[in-house]
Amino acid sequence: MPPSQDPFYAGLGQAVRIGTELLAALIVGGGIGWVVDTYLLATGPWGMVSGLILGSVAGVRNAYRSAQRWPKS
Amino acid sequence: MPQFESHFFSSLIFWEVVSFAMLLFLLYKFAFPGILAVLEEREKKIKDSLDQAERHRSEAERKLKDYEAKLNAASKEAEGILAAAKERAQRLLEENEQRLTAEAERIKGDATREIDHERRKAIQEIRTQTTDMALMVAEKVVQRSLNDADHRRLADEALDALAKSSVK
Amino acid sequence: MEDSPLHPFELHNFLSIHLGGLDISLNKAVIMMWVVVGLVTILMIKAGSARQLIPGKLQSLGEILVDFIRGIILDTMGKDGMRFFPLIATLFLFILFCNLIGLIPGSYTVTSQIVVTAVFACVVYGMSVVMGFVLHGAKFLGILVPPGTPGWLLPLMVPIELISQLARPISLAVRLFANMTAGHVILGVLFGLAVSGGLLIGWLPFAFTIAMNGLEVGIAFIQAYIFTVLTCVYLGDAFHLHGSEDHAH
Repeated sequence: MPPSQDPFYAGLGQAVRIGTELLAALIVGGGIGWVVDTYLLATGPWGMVSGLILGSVAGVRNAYRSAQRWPKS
Repeated sequence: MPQFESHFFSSLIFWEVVSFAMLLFLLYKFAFPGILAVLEEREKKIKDSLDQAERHRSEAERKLKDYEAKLNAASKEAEGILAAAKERAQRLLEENEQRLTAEAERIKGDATREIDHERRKAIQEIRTQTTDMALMVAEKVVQRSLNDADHRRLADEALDALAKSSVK
Repeated sequence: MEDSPLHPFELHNFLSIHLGGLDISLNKAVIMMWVVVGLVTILMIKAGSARQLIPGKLQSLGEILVDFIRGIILDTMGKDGMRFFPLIATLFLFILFCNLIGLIPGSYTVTSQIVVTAVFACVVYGMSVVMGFVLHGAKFLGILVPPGTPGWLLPLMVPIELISQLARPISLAVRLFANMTAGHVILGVLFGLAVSGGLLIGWLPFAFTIAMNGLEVGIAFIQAYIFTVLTCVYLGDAFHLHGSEDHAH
C-alpha cells in the first residue's frame, strides 16, 4: 500500500486542514466586506458584517466539503 | 512579526521562483524519468509474475481435473472388466456343471442299458443251455427217442413253468 | 536566546544585489533555498541513476518519495493527473525539504515566510483557474454554482462559493506559514528555557525540546503532504468540473 493511501496520513491531513479552512474563508469574507465598505459603497459596517457571515458559511462549506472527500482520499 | 517586513519580499519572491524553476528543470530532466521508469518496470514485473502465477495455477487446476476424470474413467473401466470376468466365470462354472451332469447322466444311462443287455443275454444263454442240458438229460433218462420238435416243445413248457414260478 | 521567540525569523541581508529596480539581496532564507535545491537535486538524481530492480537505501528513499507523490496524484486526479507529476513532485520535495532543513538549529525555515508560501499558493491556485478556463471556457464559472442549487438561492450561493474559492489560496498559504512558524516558536521557547534553566531543571525543557523536535519532523512532513494533496485537489477540480462534465445548472 502506498503511504498516500494510509488512513493515518489521510485522517491527520483532514484534521489539520479544517481549522485553517474556516479561518481563511472568514478572512476572505471579512476582507471583501471591508473593501466594499471603505472603497466602493461606503455602506458603513454592513458590508463587513455580511462579508463575515458569508465567510463563515463558506468556511463551514469548505470544511464540510473536505470532510466529504474523506473516504475518497 | 518579522515575517511581515516587506522589504525582504522582493528578494524572497525572486529567489523562490528562480530556485523552484531550477529544481523543477533539474528533476524533470535528470531525476524523475529514471525513478518513474524503475517504478513502472518493477510494477510491470510484479504484475507479470502475478499473471504468470495465476496462469500456472489455473493450468494446474485444469490438469488436476483432467487426471481426476481419467482416474474416474479408469476405475469405472476396471469395475466393468471385473464384473464381466465374474460373469464369465459364473457362466463357465454353470456350463461345466451342466455338461458334467449330462455326461454323468449319459454314462449312467449307458451303463444301465449295458447291464440290461448283459442280463438279457445271460438269461437267454441260461435258457438255451438249460434247454440243451434238459434235453440231453431227458434223452439219457428216458432212452426214448422223441423227435426233435417234441423235445423242444416239452422243454419250453417246462421252462415257462419254471420262469413263472421263479418270477413269483 | 534571551530575545523574543520570533527572533529566529528575522532576516539580515548580507549581500545587497539590485537587478534593475528589483532588490534581490542575499540573506539566510535565500541561502537555505539554494541548499534545498542542491540537496534535493543530488538526492533525487543519485536515487534515479541507480536503476536497480532491488533498490539500495538511497534509491529506496527516492522511490518512496516519488511513489508517494504518484499515489497522491492518482488518488485525487486519476491517470490524467500524471502530466502534472514533475510540477507537483518538485513542489512537494521543495516544501518538504524547506520544512525539514529548518529544524536543524541555526538554519532557517524558508516556509515560515508568508510571502514564500503565498507565492506557492497563488501559483497553484492561479494555475488551476487558468487550466479550468482553458479546458472548459466560460462553463468553468459553473464552479461557483454547486450542482442542484435552486434558482432563488443563487444570489446567496454564488457569493459563498466565490468566497470559498478565494479562501483556497489563502488557507493554503496561511496553513503552511502558521504551522512552520508556530512549531519553531515553541521549539525556540523550550530551547531557551533549557539553556537558561541550567543543569538542575534545564533537562526537563531539553527533553521536551527533543520530543517536540520529533513532533516537528512529523508536522514538516504532514504540512508538505497537505499542501501537495490540496494542490492536486484544486487542479483536479478544474480538470473535472463538479466531478463530471454533464452537471446540471
